Amino acid sequence: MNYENVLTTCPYCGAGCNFYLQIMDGELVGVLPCKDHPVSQGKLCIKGWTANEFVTSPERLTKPLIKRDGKFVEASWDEALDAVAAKFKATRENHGPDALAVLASAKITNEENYALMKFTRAVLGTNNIDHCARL
Amino acid sequence: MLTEIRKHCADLLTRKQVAAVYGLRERDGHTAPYLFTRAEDLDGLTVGTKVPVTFTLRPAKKNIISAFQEKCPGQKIAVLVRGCDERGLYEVAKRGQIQVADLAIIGYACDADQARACHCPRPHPQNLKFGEKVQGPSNEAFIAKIVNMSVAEREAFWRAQFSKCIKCYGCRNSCPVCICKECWMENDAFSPTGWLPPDFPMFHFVHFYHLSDSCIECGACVDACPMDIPLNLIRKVLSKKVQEELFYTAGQDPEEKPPLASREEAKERLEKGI
Repeated sequence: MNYENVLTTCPYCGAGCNFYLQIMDGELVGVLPCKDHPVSQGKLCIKGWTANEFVTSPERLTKPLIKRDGKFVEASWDEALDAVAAKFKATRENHGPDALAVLASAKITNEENYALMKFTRAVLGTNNIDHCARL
Repeated sequence: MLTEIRKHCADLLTRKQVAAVYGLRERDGHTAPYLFTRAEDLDGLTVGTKVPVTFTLRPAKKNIISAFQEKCPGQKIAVLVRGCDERGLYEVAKRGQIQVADLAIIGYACDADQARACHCPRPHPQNLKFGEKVQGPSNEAFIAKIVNMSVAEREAFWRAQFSKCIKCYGCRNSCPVCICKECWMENDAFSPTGWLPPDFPMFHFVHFYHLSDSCIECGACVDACPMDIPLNLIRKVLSKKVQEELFYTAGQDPEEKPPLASREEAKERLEKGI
């Protein structure tokens, strides 16, 4: 039998709380707060406490879906990314770059948000970038 | 003390007296529970921190040691415990989740500073093997501030404290003796989903009363509270009441029956006490 705790950063927001994911025989069995972590100090909110639950949730999307004829159809990542790129291009050509906007995420890291900002301004060519909380 | 504990555990493992040693491991400067199955890994074993080894797995709602015992029935597991860890184990054993006979409980004492920081009534386990036993601090002065208040002042105090609650369930989740399959704190009758702060007083009080004869005063709830609600204060007052009126202290004997589990048990205790 095997039981260990793996320290990780909570995926839910930008606060940077850390907790342990409890692994028993290769299976994720729970969350445990990390008392000596300087950010969270052994305390978590309800999202952190339940962060293990979505990992194996049957409701989790595991494949990209593209809406075709009003219905979501499973697609490959290449198809999905091509579809997004084509729509971005078409919108920019037909309506100009300011017809596009990007809402960044609180669930990703600072560095990823920086890359998203660069993509919005340098690739899409618009200053329309904002935080997801403004949705 | 640590060197002797590591050596003792290594002996247990190499002589195959136990299948595993459950304790704390320090890694990259952080300490977490770990199940040691190889003697050579015991270099990472540590003691003397505030990290508990007994807690309830969620969403499975079972004690971590009971999960081990389900995986390896009948196998001997050594558990390194402080006083509070052992008391938590005993309370869960009373409710049928842990087989104490299949455990090798190895206890170590907390020092006076740790005992004071935790307001711990008994900073040493009964299976004490390592360290010197120290007296737990008196908590009379700690609870005096509540006990000496009028009922109206007390209500105002707790109302203000619980208005800070963000309903994270940390107090329940961190509790080593909260093992109910169906939790009253999740019942919409006591506090509707999506409503903050949770209703006063039922949301919290249902928790307190439910644990009044099983709280082992480990302080895990207060340590887990992001809003610094002094949960240990109310717990100590309740535990004192249970000791005075039902002559019962939680976490002492795994064979003892909890007094609130049955009316007969409570009656018997009252008669014995009188």
